[in-house]
Amino acid sequence: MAWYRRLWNVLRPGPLERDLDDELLFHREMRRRSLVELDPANAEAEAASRMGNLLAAKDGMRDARGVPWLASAIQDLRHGFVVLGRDAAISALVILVLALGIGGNSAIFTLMKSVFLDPLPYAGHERIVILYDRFNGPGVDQTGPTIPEFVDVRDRAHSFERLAFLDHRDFQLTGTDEPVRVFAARVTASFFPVLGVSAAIGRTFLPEENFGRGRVVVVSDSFWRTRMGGDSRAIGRVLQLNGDPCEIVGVLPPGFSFDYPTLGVPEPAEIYVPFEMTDAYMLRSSPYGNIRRVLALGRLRAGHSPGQATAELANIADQLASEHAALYRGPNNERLGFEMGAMPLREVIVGGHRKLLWLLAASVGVLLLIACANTAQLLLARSLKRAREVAIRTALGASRTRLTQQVLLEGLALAACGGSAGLALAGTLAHLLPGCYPCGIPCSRWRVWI
Amino acid sequence: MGKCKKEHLLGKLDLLVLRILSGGDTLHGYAIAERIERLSENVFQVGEGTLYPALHRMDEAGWIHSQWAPSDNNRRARYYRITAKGRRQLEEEREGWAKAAAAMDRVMRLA
Repeated sequence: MAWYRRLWNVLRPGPLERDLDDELLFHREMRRRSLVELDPANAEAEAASRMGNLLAAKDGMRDARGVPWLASAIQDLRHGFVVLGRDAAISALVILVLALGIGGNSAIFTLMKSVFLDPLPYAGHERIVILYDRFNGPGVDQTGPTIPEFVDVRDRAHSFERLAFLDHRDFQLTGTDEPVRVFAARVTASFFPVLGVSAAIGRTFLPEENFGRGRVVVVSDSFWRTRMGGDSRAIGRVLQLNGDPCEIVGVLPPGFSFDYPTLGVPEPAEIYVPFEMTDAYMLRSSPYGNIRRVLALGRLRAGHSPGQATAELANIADQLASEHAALYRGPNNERLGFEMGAMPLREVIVGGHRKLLWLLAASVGVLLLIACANTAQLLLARSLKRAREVAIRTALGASRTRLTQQVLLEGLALAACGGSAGLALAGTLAHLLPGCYPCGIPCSRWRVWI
Repeated sequence: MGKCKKEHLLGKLDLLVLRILSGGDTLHGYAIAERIERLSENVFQVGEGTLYPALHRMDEAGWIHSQWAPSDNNRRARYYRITAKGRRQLEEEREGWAKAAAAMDRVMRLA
């Protein structure tokens, strides 16, 4: 007979029990009859005295028809829950301790997973890198490049499919009831393609729009919803920004942002405008050219690693330092140790949080160990109280395996309760954690990881 | 020691049951027990505690096939008959038993 039939016999024992009873009663009846013929007086007593035999027979038949280990496991589990109820105080304590340990770990792991493992919300995110300048002389570790440097890199480097930069500015939005401040990112037209994002409605910027042809603006999904009421005819409407009329050409998809605090972006950008590539910024000879630093990013060509890009950028930095020697020397004509490089986006975003997160993970790990030790202690204390029960069971013929199985299954019942309480706790904690986190958390999605 | 003996007898019980059923009869448990007792001239007393678990085990193994049918004492009874697989098993066990018995016999005669 197939295994599922046997499984069914364990889970729904009713029909099987009736069959076994019928078969044995028939046997008993037949035996009684045959005995009546021999010795009518003692027939009934003789047949009844074999009742014990019948019980043993039934046990054996049940084992043959079912899955004995499963049947005994179910029985032990049921008994386990009864025991849990009997020592409610100890059980509650164990469940609480386990819930705290497991909940803390799940919550921190959820955090770590979203920071280290979950993909960033950009297509092909592992190819996006951040460009940086470094001055070893004065000890400036990482800063954005200037715009002339960016232009030189764009012209000379081969590691990148596309390069982009942005900076941030406040704008006055007028034309509504009263002027409001909106936080804007000024971006190159290549910014959205580098991140692999296209507009949900309309379009993003054209390259010529970085050179002052037509004043345009792309708005974020939240700006579109809160300030424009999700107007479906938003494209073509005009916003007065700092007094200039700007035409809305696109609305970004919901959830898009590039506002990581670790990248130096203080708050979410509500709108995006084209960076105006004026000579004041683009030329080294102009007053701002060598001062204004921007957040530059690039998309690596397929097959190029950040390491290769860094090597190429270091090379370009050397060229720049010798071509514009005056700019890259200090007041006493000393070398500033100028270098350029590229770092994977995730590295930059996670950056200094790495140590803190590992510290958190280690501390909740220790918490779980303590929880385990406490649980073991409580269970040990309880088992002392149950020495009598074990003695009776042994006397009744329970084997060592059976006793071990019972204890393990009771533990399993406890652990299951503690575990589910822990996961419920983790769900709450995981939503609270980002709020408690000191400087914003570099992740976009929150889901409890089991 | 006791366990070993029990297993020993259980193995032989399978052989006895298969042999009884190999005649092609469809029998209920009581009849099988009765025949074993009668044919062994009451040397083998087959208790229901061993017979029925064995029958159900063999049914699960596919050596015998069981079916409910009404009986002559107003109760339904479970009737067993041998299957092709059971016959093959019988041949195997019979050979094994013959060898063991012959070997036992030779050793006893030597003694």
